[in-house]
Amino acid sequence: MKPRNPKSLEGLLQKKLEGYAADPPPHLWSKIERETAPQKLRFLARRLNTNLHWLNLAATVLLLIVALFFWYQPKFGSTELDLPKIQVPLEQHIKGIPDSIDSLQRLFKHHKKLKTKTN
Amino acid sequence: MAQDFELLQSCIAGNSQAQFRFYERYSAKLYGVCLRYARDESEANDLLQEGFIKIFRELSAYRAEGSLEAWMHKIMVNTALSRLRKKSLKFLPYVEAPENLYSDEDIIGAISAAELITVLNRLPQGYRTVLNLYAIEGYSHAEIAAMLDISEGTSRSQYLRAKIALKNRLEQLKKINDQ
Repeated sequence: MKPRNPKSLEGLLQKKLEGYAADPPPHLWSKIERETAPQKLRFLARRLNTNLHWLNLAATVLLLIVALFFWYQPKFGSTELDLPKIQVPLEQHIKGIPDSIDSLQRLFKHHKKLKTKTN
Repeated sequence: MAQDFELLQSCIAGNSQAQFRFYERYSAKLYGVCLRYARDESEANDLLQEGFIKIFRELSAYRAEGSLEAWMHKIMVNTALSRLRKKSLKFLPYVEAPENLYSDEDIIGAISAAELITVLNRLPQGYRTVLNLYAIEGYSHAEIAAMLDISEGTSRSQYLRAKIALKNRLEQLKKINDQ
């Protein structure tokens, strides 16, 4: 402001209004923030018709939920398959193994017969 | 001072929290400027919003040669003027007859700044703009003519009419307050 004669109307107006301040409405900041934010965020905020504060809050809550999910499920994401383990009794397990070469040969012959039959 | 510099740098870097602190610090004074140029509060809100967006975008261009407040003040005034240019500023030909029952000091001293702003807001747009630029901002008629793309004579005549209109309204207000 360039100073005017303090006794003139201009000077009196200047004196009265110099540094006049009034609080803007509180919602105005969110609009400004939305326009000055990075372009992608701005687009998202406009699209969702929300302000960045709520967008940030929603992203934080989502991240927290995902983190908690991993925290309580430590096996999730490991490479091991979580298949049910079949318990075979020891006796049955031993029965399945051929005890001599003869029986092994018999088993092969049996398999060969089966193969030719199916062919 | 160092803190101000840090705040400014953070704002330039796009830090949202720093920008909010910056807004909190300067918004009230700049809103006062917007209220003087606007017709009502809603228009003042739009002006402040538009002005602050410009300030944040152009903050990196600020060369610390003059005061930051003066730089921001100028941005707000220019924002208001460019809005007025878009609306094609109209200048009114009529003149209200002055009564001059009171001195300038009496009528301006009797009211608050907020009341004065309300009276200014009720003046026609052309009057209000020229009055703001000449009396309050302190620009010359030649400068105003260049800013508003009008002749120097128009600026001068509009200012005289605006002054009479303002005085009349302030006198009326004083009469009502005195009764």
